[in-house]
Amino acid sequence: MDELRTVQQLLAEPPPEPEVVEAARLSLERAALGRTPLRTRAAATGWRAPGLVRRATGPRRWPGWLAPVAAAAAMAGVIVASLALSGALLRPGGTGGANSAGAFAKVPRYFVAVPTLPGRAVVAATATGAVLGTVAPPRPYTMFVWVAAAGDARTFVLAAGVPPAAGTNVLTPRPVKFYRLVLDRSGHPGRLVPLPMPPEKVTITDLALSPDGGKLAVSLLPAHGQSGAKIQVFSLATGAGREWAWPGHGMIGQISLGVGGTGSSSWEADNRTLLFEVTSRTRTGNAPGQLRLLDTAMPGGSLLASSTRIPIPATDVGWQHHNTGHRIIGIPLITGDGTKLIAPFFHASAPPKVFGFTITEFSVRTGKPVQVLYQRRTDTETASTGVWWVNTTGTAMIVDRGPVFGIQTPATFTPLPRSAQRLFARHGLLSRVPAW
Amino acid sequence: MIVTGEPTSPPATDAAVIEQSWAEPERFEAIFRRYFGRIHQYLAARVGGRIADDLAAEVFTAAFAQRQRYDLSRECARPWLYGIATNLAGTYRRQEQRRYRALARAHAQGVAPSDEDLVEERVAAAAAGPALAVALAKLSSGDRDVLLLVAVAGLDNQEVAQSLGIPYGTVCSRLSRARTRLRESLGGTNPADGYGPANILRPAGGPAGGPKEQPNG
Repeated sequence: MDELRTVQQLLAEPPPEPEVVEAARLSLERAALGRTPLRTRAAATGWRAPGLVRRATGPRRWPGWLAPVAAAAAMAGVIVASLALSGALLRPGGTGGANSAGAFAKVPRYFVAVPTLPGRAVVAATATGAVLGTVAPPRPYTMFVWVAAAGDARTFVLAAGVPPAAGTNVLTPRPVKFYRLVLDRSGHPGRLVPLPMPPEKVTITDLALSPDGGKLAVSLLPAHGQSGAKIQVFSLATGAGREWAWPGHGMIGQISLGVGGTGSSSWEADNRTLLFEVTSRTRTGNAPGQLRLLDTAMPGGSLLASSTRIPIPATDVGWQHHNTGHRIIGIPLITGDGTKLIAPFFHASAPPKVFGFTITEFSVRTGKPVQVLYQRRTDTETASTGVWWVNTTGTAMIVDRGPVFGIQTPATFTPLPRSAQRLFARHGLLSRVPAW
Repeated sequence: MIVTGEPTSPPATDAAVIEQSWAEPERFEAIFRRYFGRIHQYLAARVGGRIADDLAAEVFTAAFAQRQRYDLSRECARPWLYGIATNLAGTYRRQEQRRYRALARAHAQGVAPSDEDLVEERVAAAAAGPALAVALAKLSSGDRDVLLLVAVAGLDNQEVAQSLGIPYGTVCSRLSRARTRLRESLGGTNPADGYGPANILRPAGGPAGGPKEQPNG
């Protein structure tokens, strides 16, 4: 036996326990649905991209074209970057500190974070990270699979469900039941109240609660054997719902569809207009996407007929051969006044590869970029930036810049306190999914 | 399950699975199933089981996110995954050092890794444990990465080069240097050569005899 064999024997470890494997598998499934951030190194500094939102010259031909579910994963905008990130950040005007109280006054006071594994949801204060209560999933459910917040920062809807059964995958429909959670004035959680919608066996790709907390939008993957992704919108008071399906004609394979981010910002303040993105994979491997506005007061039926397209260039949306280095990578949030889209944007230069991320403001009317609110470069494609909440006017938002969550304004970035971030991120990986 | 109209049987190679996962992300689970256990064991060997639980999961979520950049000419994804795992383990260098020192203490106090491992090789490893663990802790991170990818992960030199993105020659030199240092820590002897006091009773971190001059890392 030589020294290599001796080292092998010395360090030998047993195989992982089954629950460890299952937890890791669930984590991967979360990633597939765009709910899990990733941590990678991103150490480069000093890069500026004044033309970042302009069209890159010439097509990029990269071997990476993803299907809509993967696009949805990117669209969730939750990929998180690096440990050494602070040096890579380009701060528009500096990092908050002295005026952090002012920054926190611009964002919701409380958030709810649901674990990515079976367990209790946590209610906490954004500014301090103080835990104000925890909420267990009601039996027979063992986990919360999704959460969305209303505009009052106190009303949340949680989707309760169960982990995937053995032998099934992340896309296999599972029973889901919706509950409303209302926080009191000091942020402490009340009782979970079951909503009148009957439990469904579905695969949810996102939830969005209207600003007034009266309507819940749910986006669903197509049922097995069908081709149309759906949006359902329910009245929380009565449980009455409407459903729109994306016509799959001419599409090969999948249609995936994501509704907004967590929070109410995917709705306009009129409580009836909903922003969604639809992506469809073609035979060539492209997955062009569209950003559309759905008038939820219209009768259910065709999602195509009932919605209007925001004229964001097709080259900026979805995964396509010619835009793999230049595109919106996270689901944009719409401001309450319906005039702006706030979108994480990805850019890659020609070799030597330089990757950059911006938070860019687009005009809903023209689809054109208006201004870059924040930008940074990284040395890896998998680093990212995500927008989790945006205020009515687009002047304050909660974003992740790599592993750091904070409040972004046009002038400053104010990190959330570590005690708050620890409630949903561990080792740079989301351990719970937060909603503001 | 999304209907794709495409074959559902798992492809033979990792590269084929990964390519399919570009369009059908759920296919990536096959990679997870093939390698999670081994990656976890590798990480557990380096940073201990508790941290390995998290890190191993992170390896696969990171790999999932990077899958469209996978070099499809490499049929086996093992080096790629071990490379990600090694990078992540590098962020826990302090814990790794602590683990080796803890191993050294445990072996010095006669704590056997397992009661069922009373086979010759295991005993030999246990006897060499304290000095070996300390020597591992003293290796440069680059040398240790190479050594452990060979000794624990079972990669060959070419695969290690792929994993770490370094030239083949660098792998060879790092491995040679690491082995030399380990041998020196064991008194320049093969640990299987005997169970004498020099191997069994050497205090953790103490001299093992033989030349003490070591090449620079």
